Amino acid sequence: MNALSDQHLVTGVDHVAFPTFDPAATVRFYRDTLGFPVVHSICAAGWGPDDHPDFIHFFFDIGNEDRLAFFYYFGLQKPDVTHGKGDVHARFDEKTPDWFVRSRHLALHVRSEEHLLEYRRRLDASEWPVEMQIQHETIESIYTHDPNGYMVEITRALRPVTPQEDLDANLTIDALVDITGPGASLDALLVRKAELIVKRAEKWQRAQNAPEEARPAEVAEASEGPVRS
Amino acid sequence: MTSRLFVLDVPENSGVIDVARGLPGVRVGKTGPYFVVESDAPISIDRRATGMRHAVWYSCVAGLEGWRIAAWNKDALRTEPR
Amino acid sequence: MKKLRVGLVVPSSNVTVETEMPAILGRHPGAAFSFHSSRMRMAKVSPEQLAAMNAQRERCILELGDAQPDVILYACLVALMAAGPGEHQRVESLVAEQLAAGGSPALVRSSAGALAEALRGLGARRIALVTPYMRPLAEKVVAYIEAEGFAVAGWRALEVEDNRAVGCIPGDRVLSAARALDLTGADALVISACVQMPSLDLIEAAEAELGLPVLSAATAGAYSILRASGLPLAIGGAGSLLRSEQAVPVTS
Repeated sequence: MNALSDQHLVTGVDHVAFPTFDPAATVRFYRDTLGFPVVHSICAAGWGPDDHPDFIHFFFDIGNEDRLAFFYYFGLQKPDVTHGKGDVHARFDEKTPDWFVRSRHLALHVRSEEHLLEYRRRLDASEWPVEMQIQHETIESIYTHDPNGYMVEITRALRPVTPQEDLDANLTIDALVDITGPGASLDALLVRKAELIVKRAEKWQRAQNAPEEARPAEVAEASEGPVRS
Repeated sequence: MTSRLFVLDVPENSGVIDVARGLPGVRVGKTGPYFVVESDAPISIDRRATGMRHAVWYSCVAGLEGWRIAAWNKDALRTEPR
Repeated sequence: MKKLRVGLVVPSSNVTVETEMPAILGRHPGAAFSFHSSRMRMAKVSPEQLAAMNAQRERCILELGDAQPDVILYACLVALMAAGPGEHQRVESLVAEQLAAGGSPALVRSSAGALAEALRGLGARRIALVTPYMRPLAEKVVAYIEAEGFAVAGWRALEVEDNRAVGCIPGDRVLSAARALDLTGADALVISACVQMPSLDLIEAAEAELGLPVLSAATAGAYSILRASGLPLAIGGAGSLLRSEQAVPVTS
């Protein structure tokens, strides 16, 4: 146990990395179309126990000092993308549902409608126009696929997240962890979550309403963090 | 027997709460930030009457006690006893 | 007998690193070293040439990585120091990142970093130094060392611009410059803040005559490599820096 034990210390995404077989198109998409600057690169070879080709690892800034990175391996054969679904990293057969294929994607945040429309404009003027624009009550998003087949979403929140949504998210996760396993279902989750709501919601509300000094112990039990139910 | 469903109090969920309040035999209370929709008999909420669109409609129920969901589609949310 | 492969990144006209490093480390009783270098093209020690050199760093590390060295010494001291304080840490990080990205376990050191490391190892706070450079570059070296936390009691610049000529500076010219320094209160003398100026043969005599520890960029580099490799400081004839852990004291 030390002074850092309970603190949330990470500061965002150092990098999320993917392979590419077309660095030129990748640069045209992220740097030239979306305007994400190239902020770093590493030229290396495979010197470790895994023998692998020389490669370039390059990074785009995606805001907040977070970075999106790509590996380009010299001489590596690109997989066949003419059959099946997916991207150059993960391939799925034709029968795989699209909703599953789309389950891994990167969504980038913008602060306003104006900014969202600006990225829409940039994409629509490029080889990679917006494929879908969705708005519902809380968020609005545009979607496209980059030259490697990776799905990219740009999204804005229509209103800020409220404290009760944080509580709700944590209750969902606590309920999920309790019921997960064979036979788990949304119904089982909602039943368990109702139990947790009955146990914790009022206490949480009192902690929200209470003056600052009274908060710590009650909030620790009722809301986010390492919750033991 | 009395059964309940829970709905988080956020602006997008106001439609379902407003419609629930208007249903006969339904009581709407609150526990913490959750509305509690309570009734002795199963209930049916018409989606169009709530004005809610799909993504929010299909995520508006936070918890179930005593009821199972009998149907939840673009037309209505209907409960039944377990 | 431990076997160690040392990768060296040297300025292309440099002949002294590949002469002095093997001469020094070859004397170690417990380890056998082999040396493998890659070269950065440079003739004049000028800011423009130095900027061009650093751009070649990636190629040099790529080449050396293929030889699977145990440690890589980025052996151009002035190229780092001329870029300003903190530069060796920055470059060492970039080299380490390049090696790590490719899965190489090679350790990374630099001559500039080694000089600071060796001075700290001696417990030195005030130092004196002799450099072959023109004054403006020499001033940058002094500023760099001061930024590392040392006080520079005095210094001499021999003002030789051509790197090839630096490799041929006679030893007595270096010693004269050292003698001309006021060494009162100095804890150590850096007799060659340069990897091209030969100085190995001067070190013992200078220590004996001047009465304080004398080191060079080369002996500091050797110190850093020994420390990195977990080997004892057991090399004779290259100054007190390198012989403090000898089993039996040897005089030259």
